[in-house]
Amino acid sequence: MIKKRMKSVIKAGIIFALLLFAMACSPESPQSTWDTHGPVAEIQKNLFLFVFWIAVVVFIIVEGGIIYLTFRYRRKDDKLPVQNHGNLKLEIAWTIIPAIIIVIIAIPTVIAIWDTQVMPDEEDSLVVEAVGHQWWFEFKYPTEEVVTANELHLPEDTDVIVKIASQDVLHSFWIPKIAGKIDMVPNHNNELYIKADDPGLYYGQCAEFCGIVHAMMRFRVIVHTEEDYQDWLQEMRTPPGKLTIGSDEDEGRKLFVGNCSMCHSYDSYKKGAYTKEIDSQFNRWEEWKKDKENSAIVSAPNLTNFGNRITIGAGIKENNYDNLVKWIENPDAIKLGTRMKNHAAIYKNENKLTNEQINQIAKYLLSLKPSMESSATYNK
Amino acid sequence: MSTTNKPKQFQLPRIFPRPMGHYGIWSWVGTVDHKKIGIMYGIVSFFWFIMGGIEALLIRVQLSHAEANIIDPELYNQLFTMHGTTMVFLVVMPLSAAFFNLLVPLQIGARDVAFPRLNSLSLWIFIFGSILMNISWFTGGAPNGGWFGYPPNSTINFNPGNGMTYWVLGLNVLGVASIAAGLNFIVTIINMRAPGMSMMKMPVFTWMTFITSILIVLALPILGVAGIQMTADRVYGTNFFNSEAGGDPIFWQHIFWLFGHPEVYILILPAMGIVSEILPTFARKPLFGYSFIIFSGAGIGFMGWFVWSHHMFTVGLGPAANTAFTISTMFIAVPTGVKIFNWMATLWGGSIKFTTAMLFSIGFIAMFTIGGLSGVTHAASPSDMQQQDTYYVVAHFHYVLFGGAIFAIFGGLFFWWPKFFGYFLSERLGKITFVLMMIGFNLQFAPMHWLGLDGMPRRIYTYADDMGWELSNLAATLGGFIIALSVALFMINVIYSMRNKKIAPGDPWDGRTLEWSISSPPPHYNFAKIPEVNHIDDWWYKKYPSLLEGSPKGDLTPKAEVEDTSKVNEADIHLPDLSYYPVLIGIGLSLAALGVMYTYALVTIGLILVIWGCIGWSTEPVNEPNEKHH
Repeated sequence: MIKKRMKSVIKAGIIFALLLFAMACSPESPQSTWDTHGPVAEIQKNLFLFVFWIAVVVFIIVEGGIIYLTFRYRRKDDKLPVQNHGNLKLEIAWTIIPAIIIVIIAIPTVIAIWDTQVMPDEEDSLVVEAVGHQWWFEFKYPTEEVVTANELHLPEDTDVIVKIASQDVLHSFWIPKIAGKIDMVPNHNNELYIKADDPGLYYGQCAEFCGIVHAMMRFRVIVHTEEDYQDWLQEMRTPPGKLTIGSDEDEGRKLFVGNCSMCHSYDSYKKGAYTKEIDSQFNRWEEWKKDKENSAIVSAPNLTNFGNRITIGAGIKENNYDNLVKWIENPDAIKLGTRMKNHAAIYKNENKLTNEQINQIAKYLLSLKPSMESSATYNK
Repeated sequence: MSTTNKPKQFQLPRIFPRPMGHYGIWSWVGTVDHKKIGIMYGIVSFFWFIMGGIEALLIRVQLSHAEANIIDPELYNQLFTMHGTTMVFLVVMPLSAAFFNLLVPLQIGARDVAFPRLNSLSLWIFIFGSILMNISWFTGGAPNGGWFGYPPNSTINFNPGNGMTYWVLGLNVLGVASIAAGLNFIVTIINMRAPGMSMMKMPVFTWMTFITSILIVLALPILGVAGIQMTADRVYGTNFFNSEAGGDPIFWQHIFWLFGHPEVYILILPAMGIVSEILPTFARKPLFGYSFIIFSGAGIGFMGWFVWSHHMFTVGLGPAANTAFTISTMFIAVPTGVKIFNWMATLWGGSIKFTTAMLFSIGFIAMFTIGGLSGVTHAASPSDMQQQDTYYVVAHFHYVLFGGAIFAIFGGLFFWWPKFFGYFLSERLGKITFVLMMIGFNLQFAPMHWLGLDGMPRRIYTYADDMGWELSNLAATLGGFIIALSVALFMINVIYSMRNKKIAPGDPWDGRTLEWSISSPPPHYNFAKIPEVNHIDDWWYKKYPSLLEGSPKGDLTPKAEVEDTSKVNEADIHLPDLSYYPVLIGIGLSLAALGVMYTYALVTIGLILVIWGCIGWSTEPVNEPNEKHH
């Protein structure tokens, strides 16, 4: 009778466990740490799996032991069992054995620490700077003098040192499929070594709680072949096509320059624009610090070549006309708490944009794509 | 009356009469009886357990599906901040304190703790401190910077409003309560043990209380310092952590976790103590390797001081620091493993009775093991680079603190309930509670492991629908509601059992330690005659002296009986009288803290109450001379 009951309990337990495992770890998730595409994430995953399988053995011994003991020694009669106070040999054994297991785990762990947390030579590596802002990412390429936001472009199979900083609060820089995270700390510069094995699109996300819309501080990583990467760099130095005078895009440009360009740079393709952008971003921040409630200016994502971006709002929505109109109309409807809504004059009653004007700005922004024709004239 | 010869002592004039007697509301407010104080600790922290649980359910509802808009991000941040803060400081710590209070004097054969009025002070500071922290819900927003309060997000620059000020002041006030209680139990355990009870004859729960109290006394002042610095930053414009003025946010992390990691053991060691009492009772054999259990507990408490930076592997301390803290953290698994194997060996060869208390204790070992093992995976710093700040960590510490601490506490409630209230909780309802809680708990927290490994960060109020996180989150939400159901069933059980009293004798479980040698509920003086102790589990061997020879042979009828109180002349037993001064100090301290945010008038009133309370307290005789005690 009791055995029957036990069997059904065990059956129910197994079904429950299987149900749980049915949900388990899908490498399809765009942020899955199982589906690694870089040596750092690979080392981290392999170390995890090494510890995990040892843990599984311990798990089976302990949990199996508990189940066995509770069934085997359930009370059958009123007799007192043998009164056993301990066994020194046994106890020393299960002190030493775990200690040995820990040593076995610790050795590859320490090797992995030094394999992943020591930076390669800067001269042989690509140096990228990542700066955390509430609630978006700024990416700078100091040697290449390129600046962008929320979408990090990297060449494949290249050692990359990401220099990590924060302008305001703590954030964390994390591309799960390529490498574990490192925090972005104000007044404290961090470095992260990464390397991407395969071209493709990867997801990144802020992992350190950073205020109201921490959840919506995401970014994308685009890994290129070396050739494509060079093309991308070239594009970032290429101006957009000329706009027809009187077109919606051109009207949008005027509105953008008048209302938005104080915070959003849009022409960093120009020579010397890189240092200028660094200065302006710094000044915007200083300005905002003086009066956080009413400042008309705040540091904001660089919009150079915005038409080529995949997402808007720091990896939140697909970059298309409809989403862009919605975003400009009321950023809060997509991402509550954005600074733009609080500081830009166009959201104050007397300066509100008409729907037509919003449409025009959206069209202009989407037209910000490098054009080889204008590149030819520009470079002359 | 012997006081006539003594010079008249100064006494602060009383505004209210001193409460007297053992019945009625004032006997509770002014009580210095450790049992009443323990029960009040229990009731108040159970109330916060419900509140923290509701906060958790709201979080789960918002996360049940992708892109949900049920709770806005600001409220969500307040909810997870207060859920963490509540569960750590207002639930697990004071629930443990409830057990310390109820059990320690009984287990060591004492009539009360060393400083009964200080004990009452701890209680009232805790009660008013917990109210202080939660007033913030009604004054413009609860704390929203996380239970860890990392600056700069918690500084006034990025977090204007009073929420985080309430948080930090609340922690400071609660810290006073904890430190006072910690000192009280250290002194009690060192000095008040019954004759013959050497340290190595103390019950394991008392031992764990002792170690926990030492940790509290050493760790909480660190939080106090950090808290005062943060208060000064937020209220008086200092720049300890203000990054904009060059302050160092990482400084906070070091001091917070230097407190925070020992705090983890403050939360779990009492639970280990509870389980170590329940397992031998229902296996009917002594705890396997008593001294190994004690020393591994002390080892955990000691090693807990050298691991704080494992909360900071991603901060950028460099490979050397990460290596050191990886290794120190991993080695905590050794004493923890020792305990688990010793508990299993206690079951081995036993005669196990599956009471609700026993089920929760076995559940504790099973679930705590999972939490311990996942802990080793992110003790390995490279592996933790992926897991830090993801749901994997959320899963890990809920297996330790819910599957661990809360399971053990529920086990303790079912185990000692008959001792303190004189009737049993319904075992049938109790077992259903256990099964529901076990299922709900695993359904809620097991999927969080994979959520974390699939890249879901903590503290996000929503997530996109293309992330593949929906099914696991839905399961977790469902699990949360099953846990809620089990807690509701526990409350129904309490009411049901109160109405249909199944009276408990003094020693209902064939217990082992001294608390079972007196009647249930215990008389207010505990022991009519202070017992003399010769062995570990002294009561057990008083009942079955033949077992001292070894194997159970011959006559096994109990040779000792629960102390008979009917013939006790209470006038012969001297216990301190009640006092309302601790209540005054408790109110005063919280009012003063509140005033720091609003007006110095309130600070002044608060401090006057505190000073009045202190002077009144120190000039108040332990016993009112005109009462007939002698």
